[in-house]
Amino acid sequence: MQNDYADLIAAIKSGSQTHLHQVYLEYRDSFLEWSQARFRCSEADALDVYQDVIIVFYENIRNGKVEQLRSKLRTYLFGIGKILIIKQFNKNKRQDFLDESHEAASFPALPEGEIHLELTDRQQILRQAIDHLGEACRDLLLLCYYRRFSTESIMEELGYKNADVVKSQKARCMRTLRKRFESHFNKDLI
Amino acid sequence: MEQQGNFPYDLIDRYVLGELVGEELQQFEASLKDEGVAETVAFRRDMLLALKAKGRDVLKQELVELEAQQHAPTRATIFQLWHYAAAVAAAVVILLAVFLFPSQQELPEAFFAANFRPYPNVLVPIERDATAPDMTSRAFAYYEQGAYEQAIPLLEQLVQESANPDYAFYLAISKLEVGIHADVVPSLTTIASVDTHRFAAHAEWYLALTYFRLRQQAAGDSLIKAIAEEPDHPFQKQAKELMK
Repeated sequence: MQNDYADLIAAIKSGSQTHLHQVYLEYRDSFLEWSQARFRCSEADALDVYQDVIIVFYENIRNGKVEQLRSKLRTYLFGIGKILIIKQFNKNKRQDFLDESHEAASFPALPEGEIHLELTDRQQILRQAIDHLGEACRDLLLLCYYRRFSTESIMEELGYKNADVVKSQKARCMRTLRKRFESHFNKDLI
Repeated sequence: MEQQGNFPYDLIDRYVLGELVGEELQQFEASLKDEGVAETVAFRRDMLLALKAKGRDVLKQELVELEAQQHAPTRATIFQLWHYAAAVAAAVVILLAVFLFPSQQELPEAFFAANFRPYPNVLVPIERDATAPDMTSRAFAYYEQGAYEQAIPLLEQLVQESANPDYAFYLAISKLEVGIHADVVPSLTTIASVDTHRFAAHAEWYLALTYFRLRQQAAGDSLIKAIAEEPDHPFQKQAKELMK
């Protein structure tokens, strides 16, 4: 029973967006219905949280925190959703759910840090520099460092001929990113 | 291998990602006293967090689009129509390009000859009146004179004996000058892979030209495109010209 989702998790871990989308669509309606009834939030807010839930689910799989599920997938996703909503309410000082906020701090399924990251100035500058990279570089770095694809998977995904090309492209992209980051500070010094 | 001091960047990345354990972790932590390593770790850590934020935004956007496709059929249909229109337009442009412009693949020799220029010697100043020039000076004097056949064995020796990675770049250029093309791909690839190498970007340009010369059109095209997209690249202008 506990390995019912093993194939699904393995597929998502190996980079299948199709499987992630299937999960999204399968539990979307019931999550929206449940969260609006349980927390009296708007449909737009519920949808926003649900998308964050899927991101947390994806990151937990990618980080190896979810190899198998002890509960049903629905229970797992709704558990994450509940905590995200309570945390949000806590931030907005919505009193009616503050007493549940201790759950948010201790829920093990949450990713490191907040879902909406608070970046330092340096990190913000890097974030902007990433935005200004060419598409090829941006995709490559995201596959390497966010989605944690292996070199072989990157070759397949981006159509690179061999591992050396991936390596040299990655080095080139890092160099560009670093230059842009440094040039930002140099500009400020002038 | 791409590295900071004695540490390959792969190892630094694994440390930042929390993947190092045991002895490997202890050894690495001891190296953090080195300012260069510590600075690289700090940069890589900030970069990872910035990429995490970007990755989440991209994934969120993907879900927003999925939502729009699944729950707003009219909008989705329009979106798909635009995609079809764009695909047709792209196909027309490609067909026009194929019929109107001569393919680089048809004349790789001419294409290479038209775009290849040896990189000037910026490494070793040559003293014209030196009475007993050392091997480095002789190698680069030959290089400057265009006597590449004579420069190659000296540069090969320098590459073997010296820790200076720049000699490999000039050796590759010399080989290209005398028509040895396939041999230089591994060395140019290595130089281009080291983001701290002073000729890394230059090596990319020469590698792209070499790919064309070797009729590896796809590899050449993707590298030229990447160079053209990199604002500070020393050969961006040339790459843009080629893409016109």
